[in-house]
Amino acid sequence: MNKKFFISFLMLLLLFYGCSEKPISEKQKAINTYKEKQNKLSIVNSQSEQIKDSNEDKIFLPLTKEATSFTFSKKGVGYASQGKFDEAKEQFNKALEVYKADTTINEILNIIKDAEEGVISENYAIRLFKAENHIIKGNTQQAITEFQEAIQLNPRCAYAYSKLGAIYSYLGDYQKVIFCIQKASQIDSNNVEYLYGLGMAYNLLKQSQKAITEFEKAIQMNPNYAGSYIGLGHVYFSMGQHQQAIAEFEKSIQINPDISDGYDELGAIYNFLGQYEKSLVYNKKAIQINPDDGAAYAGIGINYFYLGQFQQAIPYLQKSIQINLVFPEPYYGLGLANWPV
Amino acid sequence: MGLVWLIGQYDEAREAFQKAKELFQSRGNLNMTKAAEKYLNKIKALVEN
Repeated sequence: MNKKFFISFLMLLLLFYGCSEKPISEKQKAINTYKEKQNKLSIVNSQSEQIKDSNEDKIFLPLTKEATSFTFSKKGVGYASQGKFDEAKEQFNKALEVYKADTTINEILNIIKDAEEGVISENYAIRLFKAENHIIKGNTQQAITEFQEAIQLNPRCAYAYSKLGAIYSYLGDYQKVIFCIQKASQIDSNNVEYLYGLGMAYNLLKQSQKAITEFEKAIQMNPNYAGSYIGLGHVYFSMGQHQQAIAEFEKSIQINPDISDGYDELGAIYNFLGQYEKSLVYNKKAIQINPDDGAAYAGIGINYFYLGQFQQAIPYLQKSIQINLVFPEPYYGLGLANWPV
Repeated sequence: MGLVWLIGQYDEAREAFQKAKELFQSRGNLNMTKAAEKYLNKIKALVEN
């Protein structure tokens, strides 16, 4: 299962929950705050405050950093899709130096290893990487076609099924997610990530008990897998039990403080609860751990937006878009932040 | 605030909402597609006037 893809998708769903539902009035309030602020600033000097804020943030966040793990992994996938595996591995290893917990890169490196050891053919591996390249470029339909063809060629490819599952989760087709991940799980029954993916899909289908069962199975399989607690946190959030959700997210950080996901989730839930300053702290912590955490950048942008700091929000939403081209929510946020009120 | 600056801001907002609309549409999210469309229509009306 491409966990980061799924996490980013769910995080953005949670962060931008207000775009269509409950906090739309909150956004309007933020726009009104911005209006008032602009009116005041037109009387005094509008430049100094904005420059001061943005300089402060550059100390903490690598907004202008060019070579990030995403840059390396993007190059790596490009090389791998042309069969240049040595060049690809060099790029992926550089990416892992930035964020060693990147599950996607570790999965890709395993595929290269399988191709080099003759477990799968090189041509088959190249097909998978071409599909991966389509995901990076935001061509989801082409990615689906490539993965489906890969499954036809090798019906025992758990990776292709799990990737298809991740794409269908992005497209909101959770029944297909369950089908694909169950297939992947039948092929590779020891992969805890598949239980996580199934739990997440059941939760999105509002089948809380089934979701909890999958996460409990995941805890039994590997008690040190932080994703299970993140999943449980999502279930509690869906049930409106926000404090319990926070406790589960905190537990995930205790279990594995080297992944950014738990911090992402805490950022998202505090944003949802209207505690934007607190949410920002967790977003920034996530970026310290994973400098290419697109969901965390989107979180910062949205928090600044709610705080009425519209100019501050823009570069973070742009950075999020640069990392996660396929997610519409940061574009929507950027539209609102650029709204000339 | 000059008119040119305003139109420039609308361009950036329009571009972002247009992309958001396309991506929401491809994901089958009708509510959000409509929400993005609403802003695009507002921009169109504001620029034309």
